[in-house]
Amino acid sequence: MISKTTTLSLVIIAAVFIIVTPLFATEPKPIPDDQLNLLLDNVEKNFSKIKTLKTLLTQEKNIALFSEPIISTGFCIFKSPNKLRLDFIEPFKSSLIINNSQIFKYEFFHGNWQKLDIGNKEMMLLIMENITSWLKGKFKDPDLYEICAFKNKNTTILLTPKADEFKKFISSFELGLNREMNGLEYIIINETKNHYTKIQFRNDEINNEIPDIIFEGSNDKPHPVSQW
Amino acid sequence: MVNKRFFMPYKNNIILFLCCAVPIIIGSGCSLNKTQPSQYMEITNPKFKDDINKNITSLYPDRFKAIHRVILTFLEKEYVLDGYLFVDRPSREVKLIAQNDLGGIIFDVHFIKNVEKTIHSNISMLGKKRLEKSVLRDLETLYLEEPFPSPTLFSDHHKNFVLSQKEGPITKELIYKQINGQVRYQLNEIRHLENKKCVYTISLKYGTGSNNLYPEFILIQDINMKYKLQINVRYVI
Repeated sequence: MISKTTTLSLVIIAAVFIIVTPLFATEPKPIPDDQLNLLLDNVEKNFSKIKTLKTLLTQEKNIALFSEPIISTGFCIFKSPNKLRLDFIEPFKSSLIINNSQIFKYEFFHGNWQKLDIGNKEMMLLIMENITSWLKGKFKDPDLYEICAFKNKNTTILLTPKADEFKKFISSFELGLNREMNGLEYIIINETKNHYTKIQFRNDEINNEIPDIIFEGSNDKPHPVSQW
Repeated sequence: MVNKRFFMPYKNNIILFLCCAVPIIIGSGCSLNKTQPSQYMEITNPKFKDDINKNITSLYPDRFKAIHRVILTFLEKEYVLDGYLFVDRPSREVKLIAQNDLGGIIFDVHFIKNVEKTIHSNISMLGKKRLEKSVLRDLETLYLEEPFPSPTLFSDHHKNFVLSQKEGPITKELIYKQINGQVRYQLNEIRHLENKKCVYTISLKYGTGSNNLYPEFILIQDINMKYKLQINVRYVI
C-alpha cells in the first residue's frame, strides 16, 4: 500500500512537471540555416519598400541600480538610403543625425542647444549605420555578427557581436519584426551585467514625404520637426 | 613713444572699461587667479558661521537616485554619457554606472568614502587611476562633503557668502547665496585654489520651479586634468 506521504510527493512532482513542461515547450528554437537565409531575403525584400519612415519611440533602460525601468521618449526618422535622425525629447533633449556619411550631434543643456564636436565619431557612425541597415531589412553582417532567428508569436532576429572588444559593451541585439514582417517593432540591446535597453517603435508613418532639411547639420540647433 | 600724456584723452573710457571689467573678472569662474576681493568682509559671528558651515549636510536628501546626462569635453572633443547614480549620504556610499548614450557601459564605480572602492572600466583611456582622480573626486565633492573643521567666512553686499578652508596646499571655497525672503542658503559654486590660483570649480544651477531644492545643471571644470563636465540632472527620490 502506498503511504499517504508518498502519494502526496508524487502529486507534487507531477504538478511541477505539468507546470514546468509547457514553459520548456514554448522556448523558441532557432530557425535552421536554409530557412534563415530564405527568411532574411524575404524580410529584406519587404523592408525595401520603405522609402521613408517616421516613428515615435519609447526607450526602456533596465539598470540593476534602479528597481524601475528608466523611460525616455522620442522619435526616429529614416529616409532611404542613408539618412537617419534619432531624437529624444524626455527626460533629456538630444538629436543624433546621420546624413550619408556625416554625423551631427546636438544636446539641449541649460536652456540651449549645443552642437557637439564629438570625439567618438567613428563608433557613433558605426552604430548609426547598423541601425540604418536594419531599417532597410539588411541584418546580415558576417564581419560583425553571428546571426540567428527565432519564430514565436513574431519573428526575432538575434545578432551576437563577434569581436571581443565589441562584446565588452554589447552581448547581443534582438530585433523584433512586426507580424507582417515588413518593419521593426522593437530593438533590445543586451548589455553586460544583465542590463538591457529596449527601444519600442509605435505610430509608424511609412513613405510620407520627408524634407531633406531635417537631416542637415549646418545650423547650431537641429531643424524642427513637426509632431505627429 | 607712448607716454602718460597719450592716455589722457582716453582716461574716461579707460575708467569705464575698468569699471565694467572688474565685475566680469570677479564673476568669471575658474579662468583667473582668485583672491578674496576687497568688497568681501569677514564674518566672525560663530553661530552664523556654524549655520552656514552645517548647510552642506542638508544640500541633498540622505538617500537618492539620479540620472545624469553628461557632456564631457576633453582635448577639445565632446563625448555624451548617461550616468545612473545612487547616493547614500549617511553611509557615505556612491554607486555610478556610466553608459555611452547609445548603450554600452563605459565604466562603473562603487565606493564607500575612506572604506572601499571598486572601479571597472571598459575603456583603456579611462583607467582606474584616472577615474579615481576625476570621477570619484567629483562625486565626493558633489555629494559627500562634510562641514569644514575651522572655516573662515566672508560676505559681500549681495548676500553671497564664501566659506573657506585650507586643506594642505588646497584652499576649498563654498559660495552660498541667501535665497530672497528665506532663511535658506543655496550652494552656487565650489572652488579649489592652489597658490591663490583656481584649479577646480563646480558651478550649480537650480531650476526655476517651486521644487528647485536640488541643482538641475552642474558644470565641473578641472584646470589641471583639462576636462569639463556639463551635467543635466533628474532626481529619483
